[in-house]
Amino acid sequence: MKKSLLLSALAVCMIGFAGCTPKGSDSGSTSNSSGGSELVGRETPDAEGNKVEGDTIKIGLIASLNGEQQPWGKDSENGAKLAVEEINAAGGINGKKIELIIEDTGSKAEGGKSATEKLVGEDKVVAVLGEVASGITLPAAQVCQENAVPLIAVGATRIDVTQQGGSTFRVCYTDDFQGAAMAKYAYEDLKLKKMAVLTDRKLPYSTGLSEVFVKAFKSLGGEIVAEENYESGNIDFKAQLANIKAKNPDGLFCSGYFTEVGPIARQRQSLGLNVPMLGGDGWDSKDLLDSGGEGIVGGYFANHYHISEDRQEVKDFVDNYKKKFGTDAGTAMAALTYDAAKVCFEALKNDPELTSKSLISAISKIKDFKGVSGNITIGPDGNAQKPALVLKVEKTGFVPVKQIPFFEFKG
Amino acid sequence: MAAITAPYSSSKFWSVRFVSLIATFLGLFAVQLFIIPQLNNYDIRILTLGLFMATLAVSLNIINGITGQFSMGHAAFYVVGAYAGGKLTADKFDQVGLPPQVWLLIAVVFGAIVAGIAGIVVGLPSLRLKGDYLAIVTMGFGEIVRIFINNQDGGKQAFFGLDLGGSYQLKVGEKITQFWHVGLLLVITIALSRNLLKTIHGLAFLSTREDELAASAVGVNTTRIKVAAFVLGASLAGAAGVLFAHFNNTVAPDDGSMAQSFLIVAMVVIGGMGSITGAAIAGFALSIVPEALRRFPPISAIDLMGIVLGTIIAVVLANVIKKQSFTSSKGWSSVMTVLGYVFCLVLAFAAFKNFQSSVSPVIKGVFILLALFTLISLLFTKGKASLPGFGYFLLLLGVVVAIKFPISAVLHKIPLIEDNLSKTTYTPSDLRWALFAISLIVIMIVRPQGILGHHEWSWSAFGKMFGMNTPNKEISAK
Amino acid sequence: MNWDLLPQQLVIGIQLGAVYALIALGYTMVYGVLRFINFAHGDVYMVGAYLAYYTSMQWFDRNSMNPYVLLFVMLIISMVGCAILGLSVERLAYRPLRTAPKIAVLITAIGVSLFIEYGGKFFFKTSPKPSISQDVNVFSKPINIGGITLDGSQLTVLGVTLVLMAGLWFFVTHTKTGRAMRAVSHDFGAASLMGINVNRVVAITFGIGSALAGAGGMMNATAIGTPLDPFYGLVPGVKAFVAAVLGGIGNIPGAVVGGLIMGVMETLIVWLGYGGYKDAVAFVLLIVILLIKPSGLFGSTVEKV
Repeated sequence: MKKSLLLSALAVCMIGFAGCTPKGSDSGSTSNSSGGSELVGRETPDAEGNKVEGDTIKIGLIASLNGEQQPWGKDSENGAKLAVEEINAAGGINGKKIELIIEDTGSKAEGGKSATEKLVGEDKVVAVLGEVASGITLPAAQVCQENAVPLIAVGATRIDVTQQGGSTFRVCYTDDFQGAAMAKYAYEDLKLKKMAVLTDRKLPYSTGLSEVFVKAFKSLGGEIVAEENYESGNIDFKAQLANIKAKNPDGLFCSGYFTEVGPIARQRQSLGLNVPMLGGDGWDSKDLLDSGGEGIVGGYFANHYHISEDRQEVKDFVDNYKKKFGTDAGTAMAALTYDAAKVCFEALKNDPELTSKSLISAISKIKDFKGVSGNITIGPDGNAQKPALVLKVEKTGFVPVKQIPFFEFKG
Repeated sequence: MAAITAPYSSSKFWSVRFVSLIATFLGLFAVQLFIIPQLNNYDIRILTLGLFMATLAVSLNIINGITGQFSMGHAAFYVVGAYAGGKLTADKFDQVGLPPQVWLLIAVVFGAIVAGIAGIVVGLPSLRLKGDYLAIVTMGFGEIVRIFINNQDGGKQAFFGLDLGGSYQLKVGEKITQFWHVGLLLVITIALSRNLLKTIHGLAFLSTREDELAASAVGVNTTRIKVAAFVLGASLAGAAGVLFAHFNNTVAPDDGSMAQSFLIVAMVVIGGMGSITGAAIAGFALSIVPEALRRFPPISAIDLMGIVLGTIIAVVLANVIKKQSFTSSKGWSSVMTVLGYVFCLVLAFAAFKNFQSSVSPVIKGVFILLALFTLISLLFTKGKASLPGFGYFLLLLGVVVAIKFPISAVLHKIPLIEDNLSKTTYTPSDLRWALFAISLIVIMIVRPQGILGHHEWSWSAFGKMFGMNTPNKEISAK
Repeated sequence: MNWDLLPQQLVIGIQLGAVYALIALGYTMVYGVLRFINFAHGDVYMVGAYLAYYTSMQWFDRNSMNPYVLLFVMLIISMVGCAILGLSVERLAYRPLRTAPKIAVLITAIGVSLFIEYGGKFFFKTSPKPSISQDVNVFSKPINIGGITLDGSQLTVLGVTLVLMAGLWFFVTHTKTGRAMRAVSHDFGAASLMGINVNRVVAITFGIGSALAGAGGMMNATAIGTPLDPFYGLVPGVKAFVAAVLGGIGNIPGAVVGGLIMGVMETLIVWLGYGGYKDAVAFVLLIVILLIKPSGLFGSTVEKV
């Protein structure tokens, strides 16, 4: 035993010595220091990237087709499929057809990284669309940056997603804007002065959104009287709600997903905490009406678009979606993925070289693109500058009440 | 006992060990230098992840297999190591300015120590608890670790303002780990557990597993042994975690989820409790196969129903045939074996043909190896049918494939099914968890001791497979 | 810390505990007889919730039916459906492993659990995450007593749990099958030597345990309204198991008490302001209890741990 340990120690020392030689450290460094560029982490990648070969342009989509976020993954898949079908029916891009390759992330960050490595390294796609969740998008963005392939994030609203490098973009707004917009709406339109915040510790999305909301609401002059936490998968929130009720807030901000917001709304009502509820785009699901019952009626949340909007893009999208899949366009994720794909096609049209690297600069030049989820202008930080739509929850569905134009909030 | 210790305490034994260690080291280095640059990033990633899972399985095998302490929170040690090493790098790497690979070694040692301490914390309850209860406590420990990390984001819920990135992820930033680092860790892990089994110390571990009361009666300090097993297994998992943190660049609390722990336990059990070879192979395979399924084309719902119905029919038929008297004859089992291998070859060939040209050389290689292995073992078993069970299984597989087509054709004729399902397709990667679940159940029913049982890979066993008769010098674990 | 809130929080904790206790009852029964952790129990619970959803939202017209009748129909369908599921799982997956090592059975249970979860994905063709509408639940009115708010639906769950516990206890201690069950639980081999049809007893246990899980799934899904998905049973399942161990696994009143203790402890940690650590409390409590008294609070001291 002692001898074997000695041998192992010797072997470990050898690794140390070998480590000093420069050999074999070729794939070593991808440091993310902000080398002199103005915006944090937006330097252009130095790899060569993938090229379009033959008559098809390969586009990848990463989506959670398994696991907890499967509903959004499914919507995302449908949105992308619809966009690709439309563009191919219209003759493709400069005569080239689009081939969509879909990979499952399994609702896990590690799976997202593997899926992206496969799309980029093996299928040689020129662009990657997705993911819905920020936590999965981040590692995918790292892969794309290493290989100089553009990534167009769909629903990843966490701020630092586009700070992974110059190859990451998104078609949704950020939490910075979403949280601030809801804070503004609560303070200025609803005249709420004292807010309570309920956060899902298990969701990066929720913790990020709550943080921004708290900062923005305080900077407007409001007061945060209570901050309580839960974890998705919990079923009982009465303990938190009782704590909140004791502080007498004017409103309750729930940054989690609808899965928990519904039961929270019911339990809030049964505890007699009769204040309006507010939230972010994680509320977006018709199931909220069933799970929230009467408790959720009168709540407000920020979303990307609404299917009842009177814009031609929205009408076309909703019709075509219904024709192809037989159901209403479920959540905003379908529209956002559709938009991400369309933005990608638009950039491909303007890109004569058809390499993934030239596509990056083509995407960053997208201006005033008329998407389903609003007009998309890709800013220098890779984020889409677009308005948020505040929806009110009624008994029968969601009703748009106010559009909040894009503004910048620096916390 | 004397017979065991004599050959292994000789100086020749240790020199052989030493030479083989150096050879492995050089071999890994050669793989890193010559083979890895030929592969794309995705292949490198899945191969490396395979090595990670193999390391985890082998290190859990020290606790579960060799010492018999049922731990179900192994992924927790992995993330403890990953977060410890990752946090060290995130905070200190830029300030210290050491060469990356030397730094990695420091981080690995640090992570292993932290995970080892966690191992002591978890190992202590094992002094009082056994079986299912210990399993639940270790599972609980895994959840506690995950929830603890979830709350450490430097905010109000965090202890001492600790910032581990909360539920988001810890950004390590430096990608230092390469394929051969992980390979080396796996080799060290295997060598450690093998030497543990081969030396007299290992007997104390084995006796603790077999009968704790008897072991303590003959003077084995079972308390010390159990904690030692936990510390050893945990620090190896922690070291793997540190390497993972520097391989993936980010660590998320989900990497240590309950599902991950279950997967590692499943690897050890499928490979065979106590078998190092089994754990390593199962770990590697169970990590690679789900990824490999991404490459297969989608399957239609009706075909799938055909396969399921075909399996049921084939199993029922097999049971009927088994009850007939003629099946007990030797010739029958030889015929079964030969038929099974033929089907296996045909399947391998068909799968190979169906691949698109862009399919990576790794997967092709796996299939070629499978086919070669089948052919060689078929030629050399000389009708002795050393693997009738395996052949039987393959034959069954062939029958399923054969009767799938008529069944699917019939299903297409049924209007109710045709209308609802004819357009539905499933991708194999969608089905992979359901497939995994079914194979888990089937393996446990057919072979509860795991595929390899207590057996280890050895040259003599390898020779035996080809009809050579070499004396077996191994100590059997049982 | 707000001391005035303490009574309210304790009441909330007891109501939450009732939810765990109902699932824990089934766990404890199966463990008591077979001595293995049926990880698939949480998934049977999930299937029960789905069956209740189908019954109330799709198969029957909930607007034209008497709500009490509807709830009763939901309960019956969930319990019968889950009993059938539990029986088939026992027959197909667990019975062939009767003599296998414990760990093999445990791994099979994990396999069954994964199979129900991922197989469920293909069977449940509903909207992504459906939930049972609030108007199905006629007990949803809150009750106010001296400043403390009680939740009608969760009180109903508590009541049903206690009734089921009493019924089970009576069944196990006062009927012939119950006696056979206890005999099998005490010594598997000896029981079969005494002429007890062990397989039948085990099947009955599984049937009853799964029916209880189905009832739990139906009641909780209706009372709380959490949107359903195939992983719905995972967290409650694990927590219920912890509750069962806490009370001394195999002990029927123990499961209920364990569930209630866990509910109260979870609520108290939130009351202290650490809502993010709520799930960890269950496990910390478990470790502490098992270290002090390895057989759980009410477990018999001769428990073969």
